[in-house]
Amino acid sequence: MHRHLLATVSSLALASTSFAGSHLWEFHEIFSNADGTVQFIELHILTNANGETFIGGKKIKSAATGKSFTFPGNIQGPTGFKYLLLATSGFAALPGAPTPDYIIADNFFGTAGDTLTYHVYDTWVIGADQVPTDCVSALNSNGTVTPNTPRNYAGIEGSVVACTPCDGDIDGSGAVDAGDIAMLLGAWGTRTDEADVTGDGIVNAADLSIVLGSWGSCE
Amino acid sequence: MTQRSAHNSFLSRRTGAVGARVLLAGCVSSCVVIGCGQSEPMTVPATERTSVLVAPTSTSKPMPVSLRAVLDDHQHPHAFPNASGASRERWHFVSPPSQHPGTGDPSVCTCSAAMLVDGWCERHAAGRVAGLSVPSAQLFETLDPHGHVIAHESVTCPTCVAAIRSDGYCNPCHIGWRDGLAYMTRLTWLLAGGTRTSAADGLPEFPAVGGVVGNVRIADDATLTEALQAFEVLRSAVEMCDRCEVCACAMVYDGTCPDCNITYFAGRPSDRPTK
Repeated sequence: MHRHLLATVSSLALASTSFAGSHLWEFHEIFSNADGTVQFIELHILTNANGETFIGGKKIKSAATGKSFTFPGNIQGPTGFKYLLLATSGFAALPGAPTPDYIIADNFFGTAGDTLTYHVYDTWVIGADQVPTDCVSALNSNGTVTPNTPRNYAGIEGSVVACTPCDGDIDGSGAVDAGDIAMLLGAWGTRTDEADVTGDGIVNAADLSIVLGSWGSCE
Repeated sequence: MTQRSAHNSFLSRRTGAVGARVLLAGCVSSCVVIGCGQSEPMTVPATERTSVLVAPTSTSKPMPVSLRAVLDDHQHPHAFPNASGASRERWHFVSPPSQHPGTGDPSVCTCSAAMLVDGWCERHAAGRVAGLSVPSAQLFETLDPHGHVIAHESVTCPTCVAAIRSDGYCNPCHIGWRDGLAYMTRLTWLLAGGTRTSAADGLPEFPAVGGVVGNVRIADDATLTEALQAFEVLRSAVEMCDRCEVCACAMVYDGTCPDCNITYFAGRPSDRPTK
């Protein structure tokens, strides 16, 4: 009889025994285009912690926009070394985009400085000029800027181009205009990366030629 | 007195998990520890006789779930009966508590079991940490009293690696390690090194050296002092729950409340960089 009870108790114990939580998810990579219609936020678990499943009710919030997203429920483990991908519907529609695990609103986070929080577990303070909006680069939580590599919970990784590159748009205004000429002339003869449109290591007539050839709106 | 030990009982698992021995100072005249069925006599000091998974021998058979629920229901979640109460004759530790809100059976009260293993009672939507009632699922989850399993070989932080070996605390990562488990708050890490007692309803404010924090006895003076301070932060956080549950979480986690934009350290608003 006791053995029967033991079995019952043990099964109950096992059912409720999971040394788990959701503390170990961290911000890993964010991406945005200039108008914020294509954005993603990637979270990651850096260790082989397989019980970080209890994300239901936890919130991700942008201080700059005031927008937030609440995870609708828990997830199935194992979670070790996994990623979670939250993205806008504009991102989801792009070729090369892995299917987002969750859809967030356009302009979810600010590109001119923001503080992202995941419950009370992680906070990411993002500087005013840190988020690249060149349509291909992403900001990593270690501060580096690299080509975007969104990855979802299933482990599918992709890469997107969020707009047609506009080579002469040095100042990122969405158009090639006098502002770009001013920046180019200001950097003339230097190795300033932003104005080095050709990428040949120096700002010179070749860059000016591209700027003039691309004159007008990037659309 | 003859008792049968529970080498493989639920509690054995849980005590191993939380890194604390459970000693309930109930004095049950003749009792059976429900467990593996072994029949070796077990000598227990009079002050440490356990009623964990215990029933009087006269009723030493499995109790119907419905009856168990009724008896458990008599125990108010905020008033755990002490050893001198009538409850010592009850089967009051049959249903294990859940460790995570939302995962337990809402029809069964597990408050008394939660008291002993820092668990969660789904029926009353309240957890227990060192005997203190935590009536917030978010706060209970944040406290993480049960610890996390993290494969040690995947841990790359050198301070954590050292802490795993020494049951220490990694300040850079804000993770404490005890018996191989990771604890996400300093309080729960400190408590995991203590010994569970029955002084659950006493909750002494500042007991003498070698005293208790809630219902956890801590022998080491320095640890005790720190645990008492952390326990006070928890008390404040529980009070904070009425105003802002996320702030309460941030208080025990040294984190930032995104709703109120307040960063806490040691339970108080702080200008320190958040973790």
